[in-house]
Amino acid sequence: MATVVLRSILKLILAGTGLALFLIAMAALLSPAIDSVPPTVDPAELAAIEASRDVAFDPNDLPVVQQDVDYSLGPSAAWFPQGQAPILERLVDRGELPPVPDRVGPEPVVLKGIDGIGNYGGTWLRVANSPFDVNVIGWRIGGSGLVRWSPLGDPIRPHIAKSWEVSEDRREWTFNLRKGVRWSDGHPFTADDILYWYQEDNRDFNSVFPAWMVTKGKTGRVVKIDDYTVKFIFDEPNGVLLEGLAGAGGWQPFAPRHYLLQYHPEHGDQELIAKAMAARGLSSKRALYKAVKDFRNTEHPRMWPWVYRTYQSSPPESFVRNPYYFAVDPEGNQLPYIDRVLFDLKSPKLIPIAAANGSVSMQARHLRFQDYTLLMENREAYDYEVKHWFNAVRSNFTIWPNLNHRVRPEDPVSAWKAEFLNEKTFRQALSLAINRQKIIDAVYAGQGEPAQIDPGASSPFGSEKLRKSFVEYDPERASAMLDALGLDQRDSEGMRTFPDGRRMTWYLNFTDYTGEGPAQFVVNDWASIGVRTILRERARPLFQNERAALLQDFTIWSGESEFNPMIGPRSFVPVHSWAHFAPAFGVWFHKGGLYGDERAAAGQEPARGTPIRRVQELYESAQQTADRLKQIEIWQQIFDIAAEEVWAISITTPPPNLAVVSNQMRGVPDNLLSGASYSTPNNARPETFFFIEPNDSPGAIAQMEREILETTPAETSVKPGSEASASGKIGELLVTCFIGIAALGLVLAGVKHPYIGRRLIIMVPTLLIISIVTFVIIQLPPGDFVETRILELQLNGDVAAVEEMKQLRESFHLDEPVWKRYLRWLGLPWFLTFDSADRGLLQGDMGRSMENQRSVNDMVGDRVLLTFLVSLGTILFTWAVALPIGIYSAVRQYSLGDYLLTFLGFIGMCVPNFLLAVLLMYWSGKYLGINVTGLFSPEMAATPEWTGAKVVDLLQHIWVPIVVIAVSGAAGMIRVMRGNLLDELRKPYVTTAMAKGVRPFKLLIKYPVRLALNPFISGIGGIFPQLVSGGAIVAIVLSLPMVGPLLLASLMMEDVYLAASMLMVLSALGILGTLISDLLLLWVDPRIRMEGGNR
Amino acid sequence: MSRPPKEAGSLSQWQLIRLRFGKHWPAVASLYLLGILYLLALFAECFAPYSKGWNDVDYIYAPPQLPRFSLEEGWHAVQLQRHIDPETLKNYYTKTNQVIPLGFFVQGEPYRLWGVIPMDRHFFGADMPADAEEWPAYYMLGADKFGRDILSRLIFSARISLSIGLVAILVTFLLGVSIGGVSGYVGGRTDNVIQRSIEIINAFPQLPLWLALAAVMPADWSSIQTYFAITIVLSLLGWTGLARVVRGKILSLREEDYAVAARLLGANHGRILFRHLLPGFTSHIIVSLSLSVPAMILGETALSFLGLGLRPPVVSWGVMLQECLNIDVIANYPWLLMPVFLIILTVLAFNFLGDGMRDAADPYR
Repeated sequence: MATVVLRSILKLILAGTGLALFLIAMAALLSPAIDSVPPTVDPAELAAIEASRDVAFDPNDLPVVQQDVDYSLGPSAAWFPQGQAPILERLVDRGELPPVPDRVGPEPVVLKGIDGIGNYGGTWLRVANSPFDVNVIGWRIGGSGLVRWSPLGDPIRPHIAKSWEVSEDRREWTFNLRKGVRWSDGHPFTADDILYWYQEDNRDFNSVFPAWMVTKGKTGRVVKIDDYTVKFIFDEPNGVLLEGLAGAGGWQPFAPRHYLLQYHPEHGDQELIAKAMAARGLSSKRALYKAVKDFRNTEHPRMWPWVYRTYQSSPPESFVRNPYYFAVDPEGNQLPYIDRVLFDLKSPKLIPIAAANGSVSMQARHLRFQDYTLLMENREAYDYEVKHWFNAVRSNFTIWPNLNHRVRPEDPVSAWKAEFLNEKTFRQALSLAINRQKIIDAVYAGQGEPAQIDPGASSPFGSEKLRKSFVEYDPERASAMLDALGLDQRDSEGMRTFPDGRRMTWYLNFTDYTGEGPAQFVVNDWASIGVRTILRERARPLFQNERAALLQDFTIWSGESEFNPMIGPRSFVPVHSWAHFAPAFGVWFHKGGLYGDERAAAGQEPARGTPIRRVQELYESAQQTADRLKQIEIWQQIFDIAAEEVWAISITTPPPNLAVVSNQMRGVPDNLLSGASYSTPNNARPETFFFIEPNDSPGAIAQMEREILETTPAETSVKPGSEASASGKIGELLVTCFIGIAALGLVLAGVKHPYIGRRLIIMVPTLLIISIVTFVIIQLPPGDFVETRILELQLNGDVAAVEEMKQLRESFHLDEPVWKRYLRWLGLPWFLTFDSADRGLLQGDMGRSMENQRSVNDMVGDRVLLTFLVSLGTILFTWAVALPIGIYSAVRQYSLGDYLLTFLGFIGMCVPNFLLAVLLMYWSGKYLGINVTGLFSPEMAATPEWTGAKVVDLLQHIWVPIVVIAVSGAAGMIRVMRGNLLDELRKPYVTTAMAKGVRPFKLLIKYPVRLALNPFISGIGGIFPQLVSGGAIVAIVLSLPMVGPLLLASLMMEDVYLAASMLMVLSALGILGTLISDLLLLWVDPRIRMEGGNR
Repeated sequence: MSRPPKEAGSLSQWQLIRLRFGKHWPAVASLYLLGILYLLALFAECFAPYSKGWNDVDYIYAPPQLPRFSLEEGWHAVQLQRHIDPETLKNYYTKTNQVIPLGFFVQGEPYRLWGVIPMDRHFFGADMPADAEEWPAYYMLGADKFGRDILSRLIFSARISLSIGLVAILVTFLLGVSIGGVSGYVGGRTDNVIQRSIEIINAFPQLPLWLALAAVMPADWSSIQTYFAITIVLSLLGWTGLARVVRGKILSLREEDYAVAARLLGANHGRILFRHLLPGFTSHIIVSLSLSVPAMILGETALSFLGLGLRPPVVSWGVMLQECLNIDVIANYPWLLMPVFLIILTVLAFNFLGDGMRDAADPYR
C-alpha cells in the first residue's frame, strides 16, 4: 500500500516537473530576443518624428484655405467655374447635366488646398464602427455650413454665406448668401431655406434652439431681407454666433424647403404623408418627418460635397460626388477632387488594425493613442504616414464625480454618496492620491505631463492655476483630508467606511468610448488610501440609462473642445445635460433657469451663491460679450473657482490625435486643430484632398455615373408620385408558389418514408419552442431600448422627442403583456386581419430594429446567405480534410503519420476557435501579406463587378473563418472515420476480397469507406448547428458581415426584435442543416429506405 | 514492484477497470497532469510567487525571465530594464547585470491560504534575504500590461476555470441522471416526450444562446453570483448527452434478470434504480461527464473573452485572454498567450482521460 502511494506521489512530482518544463519551453518560444543594449536610432528620422509629435502651433501664423476673391470679375476671372471631373464632363456631353457654370453659380467658394491643384478621381476609403457612425459624412467629412473653421481654428471663413456684417451692438448679424448656389438636386439655395429652418423645421420640432441662437434665455429671430440676404436678430449681444455657426456640425440653420415642406405634419401634403407612413410602417407624422431627414434618405437634397444616392442595407456605404457642389479651386475646377467616399464597417477593436494594414485612405476617427506603436510600425509596409494633430480636447481621460447624485430614501448609502461627492475636500483628496507620473510612464509611454483639464498652454484662455491644481502626488495629505471629513473608520478589509459604519464602495463607470485606460491604476491608488472603488465597463445604453437617472458615482469620459471654452464649456460649467459632473444643473441652465423659464424645472437649480451658480452666471455674461479679451478675463475667474472645486479629475495633458494618411493622398495638412466642435477633418476642407494616381475600375466609374444621375431609395420609402411596381408583386407571388411546392414535396416524402416524416413533424414544435424560449430570454433584462432613450430624452427636457418615443412604444407594442407581443412577433394577427402592418415571423417579416426602425429582413438578407455559405464551405472543407486523413490513419494504423495527424487533430479541437481566428489573422497578415479583416480587401470592396480578381480576393479572405471553424470539427470526424473504418476492415468480406486479388485502393473505396461514411452524413445534422454557432463567434472576432456580430450588437443594445429574430435565424439554419442531412442519409443508406427507418 | 494480482476471476469490476485503465498510458498521464493542475488550483496562494493582483508598474509587458543555472549563482534569473522606443513608443527591455537568485519555499509576500491560514512561504520565487526591503519583481512567464505576474495569474485562474468546469458538471450530472433515468425507467409516453424535448434542446444554437443568456445577466451582480450563473448557463444545454446515455443504459439493463428479480421481489422503484441499475453504468456516467468538461471550459473561456462571462477583478483564463484580442499585443507581447497552452493541456487531458476510461469501462464497445 505504501509503495503504491509513494509511486503515485513520485508520478505526481514527475507530472508537475513536466508541466513546469513545458511552460518554460513555451515561454522561451514566445520570448523576444533581449539585448544588453538598446538598439540604435537614426537621429534624423527621430528628429523628424519628434517634430511631428510636437503639435504646438503659433497663434500668429494660421493657415487659411478659403480665398477671398472679387466676384465682380465674372467669367474672366481665373477662378470662374470652368473645369469639372471627367465623370461629370461625360454626363454633360450626354446632356444629362447642365454645364458647370450653371451648376456651380457665379459666386462659388474658392478653396486652395495646401498641396495645390489636384487630380480628379479616386475613392476615399474609410471605416465606421457602426451603421450610425457613417453619419460623420454629414458634418466631419462634408459639413457645409454658413461659415467654417480654418485648419487651426481661427480665422472663421465664409462658406455658404458669402460675407457678413455685424451691428455695433452685436445684436444684428446680416449674412449675404451666394447667388447661383444649388442644392444637390439642382434646386436653388435661397434665404427661404434658412427661414424654413427657423419657422417650420426647428421651431416646430425641437423645444430648444441651439445655444448660439439664444441670448439671455430668449431665442433670436431670423428675418429675410431678400432672396440672398438674411438677418439674425437678438435681444442681447451675441458673443458666440460665429463660433456656434462654424461648429454647428449636424445642426445647421437651413433645410431644403422645396423637399421637406411636403412632409411637414401640419403644412405638408397629407396624402403623400399617409402613403409614406404606410410604406415605412410608421404610425406618427413626426416619426415620418424625422425618418425623412435621416442622413440615409437618398431623396433628401444636401449641400455636401459627397452625397448618398443608393440605399444599402449592409456595408460598404457609398457617397458619390455632388454635381452641384458650389466650390472651386483657384483655377476654376469644380471641387471635390475625389469622386467617392466609401465607408466600410468594422468592430471597434479591428479599426486600428484595418488602418495599420492600409485599408483606409485617410482616417483619424476611432484611432487612439494606445494604437500608436501598431500604426507607427506598419508605415513602410503599408505605404502610409501617421500625422499628429493638435488635440482641441484637452483630456482623453477624465473622471467626473456626479454632484447631482440621486438620493433614494430607501438607500441611506446614496445619501452619504451625494453628500461626499458634493464635498470639495473629498474630491481634492481623491485627486491628490493619484500617482500621475507613474501612469504617464506606464500607460502613455512618458508622453504628457500631470495636469487637470484646462484649455491648455497654447490657448489664449489657458489657466496654469487650473492645470496644476491638486496634481501633486501626496497620499498622506489625501489620507489626512479624508480623516478630517469623518471617513476615519476602517472595515475588516482595511477600507474606509461611511461615518455611520456602512460599507463604502464607489463605482467608476466607463464605456468603450474612452476604454479602460489608466482606470485600474486610479483604483489601485485610491485603494491605497482606503477608498474602495469598483471599475465597471458599461455598454452605451446602460451608461446613458444610469446617467439619465443620476445614479452614477463617477463616470469616465473625455473632454470636449476645451481649447476654446466658449465652444466647449461643459467641462468647466454645467451648461446642458452632457456636463458630466452635474447633469441636472446643466439641464436647468440649458432650459433658461437663470431667467426663470419654468421648463427649467426638469433639471435642478443650484443654490444662489454656490460656486456652480457663480460659474453659470459668469459664463452667461461671457456669452453676451463679443469682445475676446473680456471673455478671457471672465473665464479666468471661472477657472479660479474650478481649480478650488476640482469638479473634474484628470491625469495628463492629452497626446496628439493620430491620423493615418495613405501616401497616395495629398492635401491633408500636417497639423490640424482636432475636435468635434471643429468638425475635424472638415476644417481642413476635405474637398481639396486628392489622389496622386486615382485608379478606380471602369465598373466603379460606371456605377458612380449611375448613382450621380439616379437615386435608389430604400424599398420602404415612397418617392412622391411613384407607385409600388406591379412586377414586384408578381415576383413575390412566384416566390410564395415555389416555397409552397417545395413544402408539398417534403410532405410527400415524409409520408412515403416514415423516417423523414417523423423528422418533419418534430420540426414544427421545435421551432415553436425555440421561438418562445428566445423571445422570453431576450425580454428578461428589465427595461428596454425605448425606455433607455426616453429616460435620456426626459433628462434633456426634450418634450417633443419624448412624445415621439412614447409613440415608438406604441408602434412596437411595448406596453402589451409578453405573450401578446410574442404572438404579434409570430404574426398570428395577420391570419385574422390580413393587414400588412400585422405581418410577422410566419409571413417572413422579422420585425423592425428599434434603434433605427429599419426592417430586420433588410439588415439580415446578405448576412444569412453568407452565414449559410460559410457553414456549407466549412462542411465541405472538413470532409475534404478529415476523410483522407481518417482513411490514412486507419490503413496505416500506429504509424508515425497516424500518431502525428491524430495529435494535430486533437490540438485543433482544444484551441479556442476565436483565439485561432485572431492568431490566423495575425499570421496571414505578417507572413502572407493578406489582411483578413472583413471579406474583401478595400479595393475589391469598392469595385462592384465580379471579376476573377474579386473572386480570388474573396477566397483569400474567407479561408480563415472556414479553416478556424472546420478545425474543431475535423478532429472529431477524423477519429470517428478512423474508428469506423477500422471496424469495417476487420470484417471477413474484406479478407475475402483481398484473398481474391482485388486491388487495395478499389477494395478500400468500394465498400468499407462507403459504409464508414454513414455516421458522417448523419453527423452533419449535429454538426450544422455547431458550425453555425461556432461561426458566430469567429464572425464576431473577425468582424465579418454575418449573423453573429449582428446578434451580439443587438443583445448589447437590448434591441428585442432584432435579437430574437437573429436567434431564430440561427436556429432555423441549424434545423435546416439537420433536415438536409436526413435527406442525404435517406438517399445514401439503403437500409433506411428498406426498413422504413428505425434509427 | 507491485503485488502479484489475484486471479482474474476474483477481481472486482472496479479493479478490472483500473487494470485496463493502467494500460492506456495517455490516460494515466492525463490523470496525473490533472492531479497536478487541481493541486495547483487548490493551493494557489502557495504555489504562485505573487498574489493575483500584485503589480509593479516599472515592468509593464516584461518578457519572460527564464531560470538559468550557473555554478556561482545557482538558480537565478537576469534582471531587466525597461525602455521606450523613442520613435514608435514601444515598450522593450534590455538585460542588466543584476541577478535575481531563485529558490524553493522562499519567503515572499504574506498571504492567507484559502483566506484563512496566514503564511508567507511561496513554493517558488525570488530568494531574497529576510531583511530585503521589498520583493523584487521576478516574472517567469512575463508580465501583462499592468506589470502583473502571468504565472501567478495563471495559477489563480486555474482555480476558477477548473472549478467552474466541475460545478457545471455537477449540475449536468444532476439533471442528466434524473431526467435520463426517469425517461429510461418509466418508458412509454414519458420517454417519448422527454426524448422529443431533448431533440428540441439539441436544436438550439449553443453559443448564441449562451451569448443571449450571458448578455441578460445583470451587470451589477457580484462575482460569486456571476460565477454560479455562468455555470448554470453552461450546463443548461449540456445535460442532454448524459441523459441520452443514462436512458440507453437503463433501457438495456432494465430487462436484465437481476432487475426483473428485484422487481418481482417487491423492491420499490427507487431501490431498483439506485441500488441495482445505477452501479451498472456508473463508469459510463463518469466517462460522459469527463468528456463534457472540455466543452464547459472552452465555453467559459469564450464567454469571458467576449466580456460576457466573468469580469475583472475575478481572473480566469478567458479573462486573461481578453487582452489578446489586440493584434498589437500578439505581435509585440506574445507571452500573454500563455493561458492558451494551459487550456489546451487541460482540454486534452480531459479528453484522453475520458477516452481511457471509456475504453477501460467497456472494452467491447
